[in-house]
Amino acid sequence: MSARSLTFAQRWFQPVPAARLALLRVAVGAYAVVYLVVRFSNLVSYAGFEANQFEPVGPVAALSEPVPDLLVYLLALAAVASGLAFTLGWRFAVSGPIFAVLLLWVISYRNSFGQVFHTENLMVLAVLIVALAPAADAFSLDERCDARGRGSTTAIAMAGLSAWSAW
Amino acid sequence: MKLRAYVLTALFGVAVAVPAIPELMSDDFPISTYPMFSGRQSETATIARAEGLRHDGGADRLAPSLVANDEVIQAFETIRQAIAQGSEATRTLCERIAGRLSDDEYASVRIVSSTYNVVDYFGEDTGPLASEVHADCRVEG
Repeated sequence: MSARSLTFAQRWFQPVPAARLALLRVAVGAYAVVYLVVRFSNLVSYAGFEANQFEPVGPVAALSEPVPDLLVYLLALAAVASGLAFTLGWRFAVSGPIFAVLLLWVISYRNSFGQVFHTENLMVLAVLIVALAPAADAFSLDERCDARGRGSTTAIAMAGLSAWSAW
Repeated sequence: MKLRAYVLTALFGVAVAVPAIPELMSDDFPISTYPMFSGRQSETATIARAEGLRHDGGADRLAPSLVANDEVIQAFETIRQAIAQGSEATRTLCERIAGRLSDDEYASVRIVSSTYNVVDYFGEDTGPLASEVHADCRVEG
């Protein structure tokens, strides 16, 4: 390996601080949660769409007809809730992948009625990637719990509630 | 952990690169071919819309929320789908939109499509090359 390629490899594959990935998690997660909240009425409006408009894309292609209206609302709400956990880094090993899958589903469902929007692709892919990375080793409730030797559920809930209020 | 990182990098890299070969996939989500940029575009565009006809004979282009939701292109696509599915689907959509209007303001609704030369439209000639009425229905109530 030449000196130049060694420098390239060292630059790109050196370990990065946990804080750097954690900041990316907070930025990507906060953006996605704000997006879901701001566009909530639009995202759930697809509950009222006709079945003859249904042209599923992405994971929704596994369905042959639209899901019940109530499920559209529940999945959108679950996406917001898991997005908060993702952003706060709470039980990230579970909440990260759950949020990524729910976000993928909710946005794919929105795109499944004849019009594929091309505006949320990057957001969804970014969340999918961050969810699969160890992105909650810093700036997270998980880190705080580890530091305290796994804090009580009440403490975690209070921290989450405080963050939600501040947000 | 390092192996997982390499595998994920390769997977996402391939997924993002695949749409560059149009034979391998059509437009999808979240991986897209971005057909509006990657495909060859026609010189003409046919735009469908819903119009409300007032009692004085004038016509208003109806808001997207009366057709589908707050997204303009979702409303357009809803009308385009109905026209593509045939006269019965177009009629059903027309009546559904009419049901959202008051007869105090509008006498009827019609589903119209117009074909434009996309270059001329942004010059001085903004008029359509051709227009077609696909459905016409009364506003009752």
